[in-house]
Amino acid sequence: MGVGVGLRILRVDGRLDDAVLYCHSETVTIGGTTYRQLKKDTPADGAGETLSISTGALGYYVFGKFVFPLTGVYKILASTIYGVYRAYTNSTRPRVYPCISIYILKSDGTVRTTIATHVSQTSAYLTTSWATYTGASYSFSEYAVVDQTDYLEIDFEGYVGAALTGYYAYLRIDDSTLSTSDQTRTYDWNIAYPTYYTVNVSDSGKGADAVRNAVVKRLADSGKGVDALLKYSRFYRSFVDSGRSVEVFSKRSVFYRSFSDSGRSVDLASKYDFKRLGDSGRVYDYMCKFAIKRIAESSKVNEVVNKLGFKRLTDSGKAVDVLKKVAVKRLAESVRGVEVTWKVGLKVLAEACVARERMYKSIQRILRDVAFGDFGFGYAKGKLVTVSDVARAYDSIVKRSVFYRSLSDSGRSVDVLKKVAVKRLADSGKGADVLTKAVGKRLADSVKGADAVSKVGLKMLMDSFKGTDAMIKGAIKRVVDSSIVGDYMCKNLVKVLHDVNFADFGFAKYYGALRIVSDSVKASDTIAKAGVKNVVEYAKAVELVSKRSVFYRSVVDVGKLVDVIATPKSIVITLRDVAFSDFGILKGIRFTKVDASKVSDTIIKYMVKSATDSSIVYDYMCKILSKKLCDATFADFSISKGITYVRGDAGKASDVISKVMIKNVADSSVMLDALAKSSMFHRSVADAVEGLDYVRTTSAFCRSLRDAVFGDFSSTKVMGKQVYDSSVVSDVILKSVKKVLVEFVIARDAPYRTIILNLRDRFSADFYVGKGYGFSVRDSAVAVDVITKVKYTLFGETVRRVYFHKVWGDIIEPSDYNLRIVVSNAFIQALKNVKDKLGV
Amino acid sequence: MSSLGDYIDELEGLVAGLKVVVYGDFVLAPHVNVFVDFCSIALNAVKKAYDDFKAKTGRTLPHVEEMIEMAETRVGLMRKVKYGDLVLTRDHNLIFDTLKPLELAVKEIYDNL
Repeated sequence: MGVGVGLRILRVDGRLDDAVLYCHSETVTIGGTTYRQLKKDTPADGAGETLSISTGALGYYVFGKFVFPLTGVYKILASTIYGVYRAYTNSTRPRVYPCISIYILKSDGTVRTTIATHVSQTSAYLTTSWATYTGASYSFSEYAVVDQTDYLEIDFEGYVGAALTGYYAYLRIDDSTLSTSDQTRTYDWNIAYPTYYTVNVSDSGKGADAVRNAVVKRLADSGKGVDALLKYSRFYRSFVDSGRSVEVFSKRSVFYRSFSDSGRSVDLASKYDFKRLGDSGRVYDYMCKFAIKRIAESSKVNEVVNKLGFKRLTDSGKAVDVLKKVAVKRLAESVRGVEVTWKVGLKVLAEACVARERMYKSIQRILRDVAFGDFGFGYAKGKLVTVSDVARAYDSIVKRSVFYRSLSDSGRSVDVLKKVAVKRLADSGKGADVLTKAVGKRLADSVKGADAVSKVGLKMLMDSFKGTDAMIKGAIKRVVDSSIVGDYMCKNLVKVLHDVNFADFGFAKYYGALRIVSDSVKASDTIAKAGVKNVVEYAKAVELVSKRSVFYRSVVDVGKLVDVIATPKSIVITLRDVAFSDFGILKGIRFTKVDASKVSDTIIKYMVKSATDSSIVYDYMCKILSKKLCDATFADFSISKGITYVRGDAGKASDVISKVMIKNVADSSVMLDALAKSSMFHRSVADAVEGLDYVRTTSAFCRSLRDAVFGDFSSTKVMGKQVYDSSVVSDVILKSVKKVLVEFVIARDAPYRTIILNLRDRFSADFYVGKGYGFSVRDSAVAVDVITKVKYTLFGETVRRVYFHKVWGDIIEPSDYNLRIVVSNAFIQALKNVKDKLGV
Repeated sequence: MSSLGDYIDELEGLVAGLKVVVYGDFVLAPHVNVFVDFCSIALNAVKKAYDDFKAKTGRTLPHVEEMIEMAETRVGLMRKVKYGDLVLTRDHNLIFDTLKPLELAVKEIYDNL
């Protein structure tokens, strides 16, 4: 209890403070009347003011009216108060006794209640020097404040018990030079404020608001609810430490209700959490199905491509087959033509020989007859007559119809022979020409077919990319939706946590529950973010691979390769040049072999380059995809499975493409083979023609005939030998052609077989690699399923909580149980460490 | 009241009887019940360690008290199972959920010694 008049302030923690109302000189006007102010627990801070009353008449006179606002005051409790006066008078003859009157003043200046008048009066009258007087005690009865705008009015008065005109009494107020004990005031007031309104707590309340806001903000911003809760709990702890005990507070019914509500909120949050997780799972599940469907559609497209490719290739094969049959047929026909030519020629020649022999015999007989018939006449008539006769006789012989006819017949035979030979040759040429045209047409058709295959393949590939792209976009959208759901879930959880904060100040009790919810939020948030990140990265990877120019270039290269293989500009032209440029057969064959080797070499280079490019791209794609798939496995097992499936399918598709490519090459080689054979045939025909030409050359045949008729009688033998020799040479040539052709085909086929074998091995190896990746990815995917298996660590060991889910389900695996043992041993070791440090 | 060493001996006795399992093994009641006992004893051991800590240092660790209280709540939620009972996810989760705050408490006590 202090000295002097004061007030006691009820604090929310239950303590009572003495309240002192000091008189100040500052004024306030209420209802037109000016009052000076009473300030609680605020000593004088002014230069001082002296109030006075006249002592000229008996009675109570007011030094000054003072007011104290009752704003926020719940009630003024009963207490014993005192008035303290700093006063004096300028004469001892008048008797002046200070006192106070107490009122409740309305805000309009009228008095609501008169509490007391002229109380706490001093027992001693004032002297002629300044002194401090304490009035009598006054028992103030409890007053409940009616209106917060009212004022507590205290009038400081002086009772003039003995009057003397011309003298005054003085009251000193607001003099800071005086000690507080000498300052005019009242004290020991008990003023009660509502528990929700105290100065001490209002600041803390603001702090609490800030903390509460901080909690919500931290939860919303970073999910670090634990920090915020810790701060909040610390605040609460300091709050409790400075005030009443927790037990008193916890017994309040509102607290228990809050406790119950909080429990329900947390329960709701947990259920909500699971529900949202389930929803997210369903979204993921749907996404996976969606992705798998897209992938299945893509694989169908690939399948269509493959089937179409095979069909085209098969058609090309048929064309080649037809080409080969036509070539063989033409060849056979041509050979028959040549044979017929030869036979006819020989027959005519033979006939000519027979005719000529007969002619010789006739000439000889005639000459003999003439010689026998006219020789004697010649002797009789002299030599000149004989010669003349011989001449005439010869002329006669010449004119003989038989001889003439024979000669004529021989000439016609030769003419026929020539015409037949020419016709046969022309026919042969037509056959070869047809063959060439047929080959060119078939080749052109094959090229068209191959070109169509390439275009269709490329289009299908592009469509596949589009499908994949659509799948990725769909997947991203689903994941984004999922993340939105997760975000919404987090916000709801934050709201629940916020409600919990408002509902209950007992955070210490709920720290664990909130922590669990907070962890769930963080887990969900991580899942959503990780899912989106991984899928986006995967999508970027796929997009990167599909858009990479090198990949397109390799596809285009494959197309070019097909073109190169089938294009007439390379192979056909080469073969045509070989066939027509040189009639030196052996030389031509060598040239053809060299050229064919060059072509083969070009093909091989293209093949190897394209195959290498494809392999590099494929390998790159595998690596990128595999890496991304490993990341993606953390997001969703089902996605991984889907991607693995795609991966496997892509491998299969690549394999099929490789096979198709190899088959194209093989078919092309068959075609090339056919072309080579046909060119050889063409050349053999040309050679045969050349031989025939040699046979039928006028300079040779006519010379033989002329010699036979006019010169050498042994011409028959010579001509026959020549004809025979010619046929032998032709036969040898044909045999040589065939032999060289066979060798050429064998020699040329070998590198193609090697190429095909190498390519098959290469792509088989790639396919194996693809399968290998797929397998490892599947293994990784099996290991982690973040959605259903949220993990945390215990003593450095990653343990997991298990969740029941109606779709995925979950089981307590042997590893979960075995980890309990590991963790338990670690816990025991940690306890031992503590024990050692404690020294107990 | 048992000493910290006594509690440690009890815990070691429990763990010594445990064997690792593999796929195909039956899930038996002791697989759950042993850890219910373990968590309960572990809680008492940490309480004892904290009492010893306070006695030695004269200091209190509010966070440790919170962790102990949390673990105590969770131990109260644990149950023992018998033949025929379904082993629920909570039976598994509560083991780790109890050991986690105890781990944090032990670590903090150790760090403050």
